[in-house]
Amino acid sequence: MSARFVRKSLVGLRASVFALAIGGMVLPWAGAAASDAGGLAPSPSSSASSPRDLGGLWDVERFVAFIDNAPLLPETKTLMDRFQAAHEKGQIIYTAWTSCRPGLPSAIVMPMNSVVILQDEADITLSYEEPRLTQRVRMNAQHPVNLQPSYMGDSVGHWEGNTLVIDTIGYNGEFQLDSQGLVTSPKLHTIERWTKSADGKRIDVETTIEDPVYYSQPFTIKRGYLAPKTNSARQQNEYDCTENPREEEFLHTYFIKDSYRPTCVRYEGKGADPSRILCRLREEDEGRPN
Amino acid sequence: MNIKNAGRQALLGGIALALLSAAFPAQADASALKGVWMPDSYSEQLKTADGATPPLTEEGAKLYRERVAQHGDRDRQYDRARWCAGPGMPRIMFMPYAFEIREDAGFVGFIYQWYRWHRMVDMTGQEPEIVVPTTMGYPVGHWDKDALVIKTVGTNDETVLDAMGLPHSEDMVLTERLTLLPNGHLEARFQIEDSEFYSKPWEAVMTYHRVGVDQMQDDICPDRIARGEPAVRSALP
Repeated sequence: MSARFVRKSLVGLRASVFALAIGGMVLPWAGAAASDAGGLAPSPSSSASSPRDLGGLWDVERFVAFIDNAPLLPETKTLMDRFQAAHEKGQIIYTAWTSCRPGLPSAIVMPMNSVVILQDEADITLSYEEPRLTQRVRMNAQHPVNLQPSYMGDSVGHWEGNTLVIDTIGYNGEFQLDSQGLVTSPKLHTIERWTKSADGKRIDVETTIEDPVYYSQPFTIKRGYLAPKTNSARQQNEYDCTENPREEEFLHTYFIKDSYRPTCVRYEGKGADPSRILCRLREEDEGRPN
Repeated sequence: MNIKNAGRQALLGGIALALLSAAFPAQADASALKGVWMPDSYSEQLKTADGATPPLTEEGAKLYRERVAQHGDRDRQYDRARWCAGPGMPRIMFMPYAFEIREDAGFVGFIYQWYRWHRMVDMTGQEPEIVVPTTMGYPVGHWDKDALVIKTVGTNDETVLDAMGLPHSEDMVLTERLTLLPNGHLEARFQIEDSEFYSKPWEAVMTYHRVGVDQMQDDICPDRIARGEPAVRSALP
């Protein structure tokens, strides 16, 4: 089996797993990964004795695609029902994540595989494997007065005892919280609390999510990270979201936002015509194969 | 102490110091290299450190000529960065965008401004476990005195080395050597060994200057191309 075939197979598997998550099925992997924790020995980097040393590679405890405790306002419920109806008609729900422009909360809520944390006194960076993004946390700093809204927002951090508290505002409301499409507004505010266990083998993260535009009150989600096994590879897998924008995928897609429609699409060639990726602006239609 | 004894003692002292240094080499770190960097220059065409065309094999030269001829074609297929897919190593180190070097926990991290890419260089001396070839490959690093040396293997052959389509194979061995120059600029030398497309190993070089962290603002390539902007700009900001 060629390496390329293996890679494409993995990409396909990843897409299938995510499609299952979107499909609203009970997640068979939820809870399974956590049971491996008993055999884990921390890597030298991530098991550092200081409870305030979070640096190193950490494995996501389990992939969770949904938030099930969000207190929806009535108009939010209406929106979610619309997404669900599209899904039940067989359409793929296209979120910011699946259109390769995830917001930071996409990683907070639905991290996959691993995160690498690099830490110094002034800044902490969290480089997530999937969705691929890096969160920069300025320690003991204030949010700027005039924030430019963005997918990542502005993160500042401080220590409360041995818990790292990360406060993020300045989001742009252009992304969703989970694979169901839980919507967000620029009023979104997230507060993460990262706490390393006494034995250094895991980190628990509790995140409070506030967005009065769509949710009646703040709510909390919990995620966990595990120190990798000793001698396990110290590499993240690569998540190249935009590498293969397949035409057939977009034929059965419900775009939560019109801006998620792809600019570049891979058209499968017919006969001797090779498949190719063409990029066209929305107002352009010339040149696209029928 | 006569001059002869003084010389002997100095010699013995020097030998002892050398032995000590060999037994306990100074542990370098990335503190001098940390920060946000921007390339000093940009070219669509990658040249050797001497300014020459890389030593392509006949097959490599043929493929490169074909791609150079397609360069002006908006639908050129060799350039996956055009649709925001990963440009890969070492091309991302030559693109006119900022990147940050950080260090912690046995990693030297490169965080790129271009569409949120990053790579984590393992500094523990562990052999990489190549699962499948990737655009960034599998980098492992060590210190050679004050130089950060990074060896990368396992790069997939769907990426190119420059905007014109300079090819490489999955067997490419990339060795980077990063040092801080006396003028405060960062120098990175890239040795490329790839017998499928090059008749001999060759080296490219880039220097970088420090910029503010404001150059690391979030970059969403799909949003940019939807606005009609290029996926990869063709000049420094």
